[in-house]
Amino acid sequence: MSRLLRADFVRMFKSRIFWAGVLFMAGFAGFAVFTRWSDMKAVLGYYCFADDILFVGEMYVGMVISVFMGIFVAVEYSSGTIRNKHIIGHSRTAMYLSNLVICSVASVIMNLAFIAVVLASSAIGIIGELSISHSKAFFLILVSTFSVIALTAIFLFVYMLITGRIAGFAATIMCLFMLFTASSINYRLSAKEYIEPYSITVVDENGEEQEVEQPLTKNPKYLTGTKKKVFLFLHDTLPMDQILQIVRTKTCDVDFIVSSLVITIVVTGVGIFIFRKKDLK
Amino acid sequence: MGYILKTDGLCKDYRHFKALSGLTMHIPKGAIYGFVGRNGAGKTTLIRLICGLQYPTGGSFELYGVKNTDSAISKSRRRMGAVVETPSIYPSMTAEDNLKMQYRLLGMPSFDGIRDLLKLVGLENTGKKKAKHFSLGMKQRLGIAIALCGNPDFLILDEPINGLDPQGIIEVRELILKLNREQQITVLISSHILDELSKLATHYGFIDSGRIVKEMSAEELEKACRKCVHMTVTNTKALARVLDSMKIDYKIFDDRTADVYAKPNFSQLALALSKENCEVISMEEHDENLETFFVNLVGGANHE
Repeated sequence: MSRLLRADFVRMFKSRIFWAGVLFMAGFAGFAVFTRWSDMKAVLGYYCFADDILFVGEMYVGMVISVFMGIFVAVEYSSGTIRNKHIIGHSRTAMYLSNLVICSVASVIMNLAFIAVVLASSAIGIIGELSISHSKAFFLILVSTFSVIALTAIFLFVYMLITGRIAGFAATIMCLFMLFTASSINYRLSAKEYIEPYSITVVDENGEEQEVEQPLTKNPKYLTGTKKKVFLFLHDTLPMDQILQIVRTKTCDVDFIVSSLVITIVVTGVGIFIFRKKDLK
Repeated sequence: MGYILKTDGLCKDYRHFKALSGLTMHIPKGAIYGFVGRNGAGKTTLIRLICGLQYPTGGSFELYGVKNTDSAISKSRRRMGAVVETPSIYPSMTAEDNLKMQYRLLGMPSFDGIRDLLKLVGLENTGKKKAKHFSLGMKQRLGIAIALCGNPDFLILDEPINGLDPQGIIEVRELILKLNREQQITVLISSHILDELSKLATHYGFIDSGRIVKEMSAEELEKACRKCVHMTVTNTKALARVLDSMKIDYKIFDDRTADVYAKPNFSQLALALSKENCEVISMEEHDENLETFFVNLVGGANHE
C-alpha cells in the first residue's frame, strides 16, 4: 500500500483540482474576513471575533471535497488506471484505503486552508482575536477534522462504487441531503416547547378591525421522548450536524470524534466489502 | 511445452447472459497468441478474468502455474502487463509522467529505463505534450509502454489496433513483433481484425459463443489454409504415381479424392492420368485464408 500512497500523493500534489480546491477555500475565507471587516467599519459597536467565522468554511467544504473527489477518484475509472493498479498486483482493499487516506488528507488541507486564512487575518488585526481559549479552538479544529474525514469516507463510498457521470450527481445530491438534514434536525431541536402569547388583527363582518389575543399554546414541533432522543443522537453523530453545531455554538465533545471514527470505519468497511466483489470494466 | 497461461472450463455469467461457457485455452511460452472471435464472443471477458478485474463463475485458470484461487496469483500478475480495452493512462500527464507514475506504483527504486521505454514505443519526442492531446496510436503505444514498465514476460493486448489509422497499425504491429523477438515476451492479442493478426500470430485460439472452438499453431493454420486443387479421380493410386513423377505435393483422402498443393499444367496432368487409365471427374480450386478459415470454423452467416 505504501507504493500506492507514494504514487497517489505525488498525483494529488500535482493535481490542479486539488490546488483549485485549496485556493477556493482560502479565497472563500478571505471573502468572509473582508465582509466582517467591512461590517466592523460600517456598524458602530460591531466586533467580529475570529472564532465567529473560523468554522464557517466547513459548511461548504463538503461541496468542494465532492467536486475534488469527483475528478480525482472518478478519473481512475474513466481513464482505466484503476484496472492497471489491480493488474499490477495491488489489492482492492489497498486501493480503497489508499484513496481514503489521499482524499482525507486533501480534504483536511482544504479545510485548514480556510482556518489558516481566518487565523492569519486575526493575527494581523483585520478581524478580532479568538473569544475562546486556544486549547478550545484547537479541540474544535480537531473535532471538525474528524467530521471532514467522515464526510470524505461517505463521498469515497459513492465514487468508488458508482461509476460514470451518475456518481457526481449522486454525491452532490447526498451533500445537499446532508446539509438539508442537518438544518432540519437543528430547526426541530431548537423549537421551543410553547408558543408565546401573541395578538393578531382580524376584520369582522362589519369591516372593523379587531385585535384577537392568542393564548400560550404548546408547540406541535417541539420534540419529546424517544423522538427527541433520536434527533439528538443524529445531531451529535452525523458529520454535517456536528459541523453545524461547531459553527453555530462552538461546542462539541469527545463523542463527536468517536462517532466520526465509527462512521468512517463502518462506511469504509462496507465500501471495501462491496468494492472487492465489484466487477471492474 | 511450457505454458504461461492455461484455462480450464472457465465460465462467466452476467445475470442471464453467459459470456464464457467452459473456455479452455493454452498459451505457450514465447508465443504471439492471436485470440480470434467476433464482437461479443467473450474475448474481453476472458482478459478481464485473467487480469483479476472480474471473477469467474466457474472453471479455473493458471498463470505461470499459479491457480487463480491461490493467493499468490497477485504476485504472478506482477509479471504480466496488460492493455485492456483502452490504454490506462492519466490524460492530464505527459508520457514521461505517466511512466513515472507506473514506476512508483510498481515500487521501482529509480526512473532508469523510462527514456529507453519511450524510445522503444517511439514517444521519446513528445516532451510536455499531455496524453489527452495524443493521437489514438500514440495513446495505444503509451499504454503498451506502461504495461512494459515492470519488465513483464507476458503482455496482454485487448484489441490493440482498434480505431488506429494504417500508420498506427503498422507501428503497433512492429512494436509487438520487436517485443516478442528481441525481449522474448509472450503476447496475447485479442482481435477481430484477422488480416492484421495473421501478420503477427504464432498461435491462434478461435473463440465463439464463450468457448474455444479450435487452437492451433500458425504452421498448422498455414497447412490448413494452403492453396490446393481438390481433385476427384477414378483411381488415386494412379494419381499419386503421376504426381510423384511430377514432384508435386499432395494429400490422398480416399480412393477417389485428393488435394494437390500446386497448380499443375492440367492438360499434361490429365494426359498423364489417362495413360494410367485414370479419369479426372472434377477439379476445384481451394484458396483459404484466416478469414475464410474462421468463418468456416464458426459457422458464418448462422451467427450473424
